[in-house]
Amino acid sequence: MTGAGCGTGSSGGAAASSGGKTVVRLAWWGNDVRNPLTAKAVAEFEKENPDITVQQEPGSWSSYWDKLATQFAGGSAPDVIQMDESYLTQYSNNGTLLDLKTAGLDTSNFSSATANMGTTSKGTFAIVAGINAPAAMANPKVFKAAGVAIPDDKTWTWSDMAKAAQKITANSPSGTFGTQNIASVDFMLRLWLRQHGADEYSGTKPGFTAAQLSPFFAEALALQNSKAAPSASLTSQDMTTSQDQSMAATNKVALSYWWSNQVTSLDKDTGTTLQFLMPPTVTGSAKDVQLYYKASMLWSVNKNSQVQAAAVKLVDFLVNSPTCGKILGTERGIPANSKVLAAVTPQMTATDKQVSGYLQGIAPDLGTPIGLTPPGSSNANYATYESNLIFGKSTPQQTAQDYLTSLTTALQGKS
Amino acid sequence: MSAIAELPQKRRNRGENRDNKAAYVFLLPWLVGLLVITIGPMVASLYLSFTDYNLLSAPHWIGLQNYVAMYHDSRLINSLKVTFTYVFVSVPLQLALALIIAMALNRGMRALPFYRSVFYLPSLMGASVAIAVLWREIFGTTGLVNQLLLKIGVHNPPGWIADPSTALSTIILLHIWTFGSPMIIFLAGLRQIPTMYYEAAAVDGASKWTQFVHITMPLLSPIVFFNLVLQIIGAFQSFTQAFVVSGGTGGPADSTMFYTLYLYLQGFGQFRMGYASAMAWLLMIIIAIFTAVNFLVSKYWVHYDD
Repeated sequence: MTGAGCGTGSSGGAAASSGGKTVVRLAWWGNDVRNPLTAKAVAEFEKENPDITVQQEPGSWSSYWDKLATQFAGGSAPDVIQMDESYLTQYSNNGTLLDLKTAGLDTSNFSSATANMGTTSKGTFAIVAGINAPAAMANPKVFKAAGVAIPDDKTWTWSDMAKAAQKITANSPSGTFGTQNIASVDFMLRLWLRQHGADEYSGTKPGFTAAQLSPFFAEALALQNSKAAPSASLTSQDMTTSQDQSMAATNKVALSYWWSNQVTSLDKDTGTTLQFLMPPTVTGSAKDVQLYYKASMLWSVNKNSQVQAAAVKLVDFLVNSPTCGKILGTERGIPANSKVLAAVTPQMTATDKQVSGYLQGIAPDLGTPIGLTPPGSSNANYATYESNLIFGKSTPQQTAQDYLTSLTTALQGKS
Repeated sequence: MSAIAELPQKRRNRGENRDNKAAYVFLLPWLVGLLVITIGPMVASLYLSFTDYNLLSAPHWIGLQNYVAMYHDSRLINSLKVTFTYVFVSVPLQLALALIIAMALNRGMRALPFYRSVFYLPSLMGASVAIAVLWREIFGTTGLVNQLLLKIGVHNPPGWIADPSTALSTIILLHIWTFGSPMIIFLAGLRQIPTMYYEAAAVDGASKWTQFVHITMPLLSPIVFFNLVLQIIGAFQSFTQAFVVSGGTGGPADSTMFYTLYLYLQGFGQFRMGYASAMAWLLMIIIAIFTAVNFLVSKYWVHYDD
């Protein structure tokens, strides 16, 4: 088919073809780095598959989920969808996503843990696009200015962390603090629970008791009261500002806690190279840190797609093609496909190498892998209970009890 | 004779019909909008309010369950409290400020059009995202206001939008600041009051205050009423300011969780479209009740000239 038109017009979601070409709609949330990289990868895919045209639908996180849900309701959802772990169960339970294993997607170069990151009890509804892990990040500029040595993450405990943070605040100019408030970080809560023999979820129920959670809140409050962590209103504000305006990005805290792939933009914002640390432990042995890998994002295919075969082909290209991997790099997290990772490694930037080194470094100390986040958890309204805690409107015990009650109700509300 | 008399009558009727048709054609863009964009979705949302609908699978009928659940939803009750506080505090204050500025401007000053524009400006921008973002910066913990407070020696300035006890007040302040549109309407109303009334009253020795109470207020009452109804309806539906200032969370600690924001979060955050629809109908009923009460009570204080 020569002289085929290029399908840039809206296809409305139905079986779409343009001048004899199959049109696949690809939706993702992105940023100024991700969007051009994805466009480049798509161009490569179209070159390899001259009979397929990919219609790109980039979006931003804040409006992505509103739009996607509305599109599914209206029957005009895209064919290939960048998926987040927290939304996966909701979408797959409602029968909107294609089982990728049944559809024949090749996962032979994935480790079994990573190949199943998008697997629910009913099937594999997503395939991981990149891996990340929780990390503590030390800002060497702030540490150095305060004359405090960066702690050894193989042996540090929560109280070592508190002591270091207090010292940093004391030795720093006013407005600079030792640590971000740990209660603002979802995975710090989770690691704390895991280090105490519990977990955030157990299947589709909360996996902890109020008594197990309340010491975490007490610890967070102690950090704030000893000025190791910022004041309640600074923390409260930090919870809703964009990442590039956050206290960590503006060199206002020495220790902050992020997903490993977020370091790329943080390095840029702070103008320094943040140092990766494993989060602290209760016992002072990194063996007990209970870290875990998480899918930074995943790819799913719309079950009602009229161009399923082409959509699966595109997903296959995105996760299995070394050529594509070289274009995308590690921007979506470290590739889970070992062949793609091998192809990407030689061209990694210093930051990429740091991230990849951290992920490999923690491998011997990983805890039990986490299950999928049960649907409804976001309705538990954690931020409100955290605010009550840090503004002194509720004690750690009360906060733990209130949040547990709210989470239990929220998880029950969803099937 | 009657036939002759009827002839022009009929012709006139035909003419009227043609005029009517033309009118409907001209109305068409609005009419289509009303039916497709307003009435249609309203009927759909009424149906959805009796269903469990998550956008992804088909809605299924659950009767009054959504309405019952609303009664037990403590966050919803809290959002009603926040919204009522907002309406009852910001509307009277905003109208009072609008009236005061309008009266000050009504003294026949030379640069009136200039001042009118200056005071109207915030109204044009107030509901916009840009101003809400600006507000966020001004009242941030390290924002403009606190920088000034620190300069003049206040050591522990409040967190404003970051502190649950002051966040709502900050948004109310933003709303009051947008007093321009009721002010313009007041100004127009004030200019309708014949100056001879004031002159006559002045001759009789009435003070400024007496003049205000016995001349300005009664004659301006239809305008006050009009502004009151519009502003109450508008305030109940406020969304943008709370959404932007709180970063879409209604925080801190749900202190800026407006009813409409909670509705949005239920619908698009939790995919509980049935519940969100039921919430929308409750809001409509609340607004309808307030408007009805307003009209009923208006008999006792609104004076129409004729």
